[in-house]
Amino acid sequence: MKKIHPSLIFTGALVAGLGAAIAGSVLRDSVDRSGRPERLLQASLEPMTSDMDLQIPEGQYFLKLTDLVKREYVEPIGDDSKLAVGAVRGMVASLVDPWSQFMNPSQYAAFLQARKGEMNGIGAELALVYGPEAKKLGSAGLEAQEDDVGPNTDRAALLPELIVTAVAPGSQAEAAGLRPGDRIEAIDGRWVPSEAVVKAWREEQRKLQAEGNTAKLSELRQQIREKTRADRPATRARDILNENGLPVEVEWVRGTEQLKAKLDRKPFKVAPIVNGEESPQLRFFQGADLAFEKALKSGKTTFDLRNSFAGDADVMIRCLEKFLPPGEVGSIIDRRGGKPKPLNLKGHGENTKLTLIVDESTRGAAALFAQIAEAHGSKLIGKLNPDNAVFVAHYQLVDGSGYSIVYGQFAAPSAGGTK
Amino acid sequence: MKALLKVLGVLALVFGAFLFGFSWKDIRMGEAPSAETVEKLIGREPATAKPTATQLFNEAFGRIFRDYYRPVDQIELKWAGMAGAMGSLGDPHTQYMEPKVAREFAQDTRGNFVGVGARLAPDPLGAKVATVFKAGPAAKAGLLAGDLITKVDGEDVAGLPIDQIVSRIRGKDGTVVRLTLLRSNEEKPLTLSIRRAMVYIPTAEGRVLPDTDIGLISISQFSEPTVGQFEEALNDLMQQGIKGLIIDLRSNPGGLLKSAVQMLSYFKPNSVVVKMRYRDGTEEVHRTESNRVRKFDFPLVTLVNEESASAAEIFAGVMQDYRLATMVGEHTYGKASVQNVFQLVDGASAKITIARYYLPNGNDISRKVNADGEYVSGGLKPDITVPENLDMIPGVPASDNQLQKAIEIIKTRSAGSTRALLLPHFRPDIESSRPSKTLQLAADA
Repeated sequence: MKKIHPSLIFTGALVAGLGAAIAGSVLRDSVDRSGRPERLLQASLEPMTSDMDLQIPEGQYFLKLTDLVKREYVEPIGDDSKLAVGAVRGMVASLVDPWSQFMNPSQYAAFLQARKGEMNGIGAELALVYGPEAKKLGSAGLEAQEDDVGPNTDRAALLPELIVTAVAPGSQAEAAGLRPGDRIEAIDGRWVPSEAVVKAWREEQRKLQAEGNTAKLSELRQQIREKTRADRPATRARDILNENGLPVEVEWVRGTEQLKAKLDRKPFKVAPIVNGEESPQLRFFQGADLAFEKALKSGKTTFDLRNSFAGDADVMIRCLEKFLPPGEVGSIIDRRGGKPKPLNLKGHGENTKLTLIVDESTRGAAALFAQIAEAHGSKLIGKLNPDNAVFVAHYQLVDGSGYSIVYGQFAAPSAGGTK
Repeated sequence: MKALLKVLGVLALVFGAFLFGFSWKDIRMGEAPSAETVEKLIGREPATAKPTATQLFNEAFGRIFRDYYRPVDQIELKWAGMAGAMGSLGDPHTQYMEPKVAREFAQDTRGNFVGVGARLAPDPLGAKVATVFKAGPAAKAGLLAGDLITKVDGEDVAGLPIDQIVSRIRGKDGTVVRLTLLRSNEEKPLTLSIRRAMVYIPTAEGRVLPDTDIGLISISQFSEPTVGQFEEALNDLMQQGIKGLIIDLRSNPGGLLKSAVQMLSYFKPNSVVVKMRYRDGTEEVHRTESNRVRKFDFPLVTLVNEESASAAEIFAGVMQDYRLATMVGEHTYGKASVQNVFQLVDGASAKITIARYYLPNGNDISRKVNADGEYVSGGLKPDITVPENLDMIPGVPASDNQLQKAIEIIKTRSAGSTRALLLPHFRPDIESSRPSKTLQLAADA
């Protein structure tokens, strides 16, 4: 072996070392760039877009704001995902859409349970319905509704009504006589404030003031004071009615009628098909597709979709596949001018024509089912509210809370399209 | 053997250099490469890839903005997200203020703007003049309370929201605005040309109560000009030889701490007002000034209610702690925290609770609420509790039972022996060198 000059070895080692250092640095950069974290929040229905790494300016802004809060706030903020969850809550609330809702961990768990037909509390589905003015007030106001709102905000417009949207058959709520469309007025004697009532009071006060009827005015003010002294915000009231526990006294309003009953609050299971007086009631809970197939096989062709719960759109699609042939049945459209997305069925149905009983209380998956079936020859009895026919996706967040957002509506195939 | 050592040495050097190169980014930042990066290098996905808060935000923002079925305003969505993020701390005083709200808030605190100097109320025909500010441009031009503004610069304003009418009337300093008015007992519409100027919102107004020699100063908030207005009202009343003074702080949501401190300096020199405690444990003591003090040889009463908050509570609380005044009314709100307002790049602001404060006697007055947000405890407790009458009109003794009580107290005190003024019973133990900031005690509570 020939002797190599030591200085050559030294130079070689130096070059090799430098090269290795550069290679290491380059490799590191590429490792960092490849850092695309896995999907963290699972979509339940639609494969939604997800690009968390995208450097959106809003994200930068959020980062700067949260850094400021973390640095300055009087108490240390341990887990900053709390701030992100709060941001999601605010963004979803700003949509002012009864179908797009933020849910805290227990509400989200109940939401998932309800899709299986498992109810808690009095056995009714309840929605927060905002008046038209709430939308105009926009973002910040809504989020802060229960505490303090901006200087020029009309607080009344931030008070949603608590409306019964469905009553489970055989439940406490049904036995007590609650019906879809009823407005909850009070729980255990504590008033649930709503925009409509507050505005009516104001009108009444203005009238009495103009008339100079001080005795009546004073009486009215006394009443308002009594009512507002111990009230229950609608969000809290809904939680109370959907939780299990001691019985509660519920007061509700139907038109001009004032009704009242004491209701138990306990777990309650609703089957996807319940045999009604005339025709089976169909609700799109998990397992509905199998029960529905059985009913079809036994010769049933009329189904009652009234008093439906929000239901599960996946299950609804599987039900469609039991009686509609495979292929495109229409499309999912938005109101932003986006491209319609074809809605495809994969089943083996034979295009059975059904008769479906619907009304204002046919909502969510049931309303979509009715629209799609109608577009393919089924007959609807009753009038459907198209605003209730929406495709809803829902997502879970790191702390167990979740949110739902409406991503589209159904459009029937145009003439010349699918058969 | 020696050659092998040499080869190993070179290899070790090369490997070391590689590691150095790989870690250079971290070394520059003064830390070791994270386990996550190393795991990625050896081809393993990090086991616990917890998303950052920003990633969570980005994902939800993207979903809502792109997937929601109706058009979404990108900026409003951002604002809603920021409001929600700050709301998540559960502190009603830590708030995000979008640019419009931030501007209004800043204006409220400054207590001035360029305009004509009038408070307007909505009216189907345009805007009704509710109050004309003393000595403002509108007052000089002859605008009267009760006038109905139907046109601004010749343009009809009927049906416009009040804030739009206001923004048309406001403008640049020195320019002229022409208002067309309807005035009761005038048949034809009037036209007034008013030169816009800096207007100070009256926040401290004094008067002698009818048929008494008792002065009343109503303070609606603590803004920058409040101190001057308070001094003016005080001088005026003292000259009229009042025998008692009532300071009305009811429904006063607070404002600037600095203003409250300066105003307390008229009553007590060089004394502790509040002690602030920051998150890092540092304390800061605010003291009254020594050169403003006046002599009051008559009884003082403060009026408070549940809507008296922050700076108003400090004012009333300090007067109570030093036994300078008798506090009458209902318990106060109980806001024991200090906020600072941070300007953000886009004109929005973040109002953040940065400290808690304690009054001279050290009591914690912070508001406690139950699960339904109802008041449980907190706030200042008045020396004499008087629940307000329904339908009372504040400041009108005949209907204002709290004011009546205040007058009664002053009358009995004046009749008896002069009350001994007690010496302060509290000394600060810490002086802070923290640079003074613009401390903002929230205007809304």
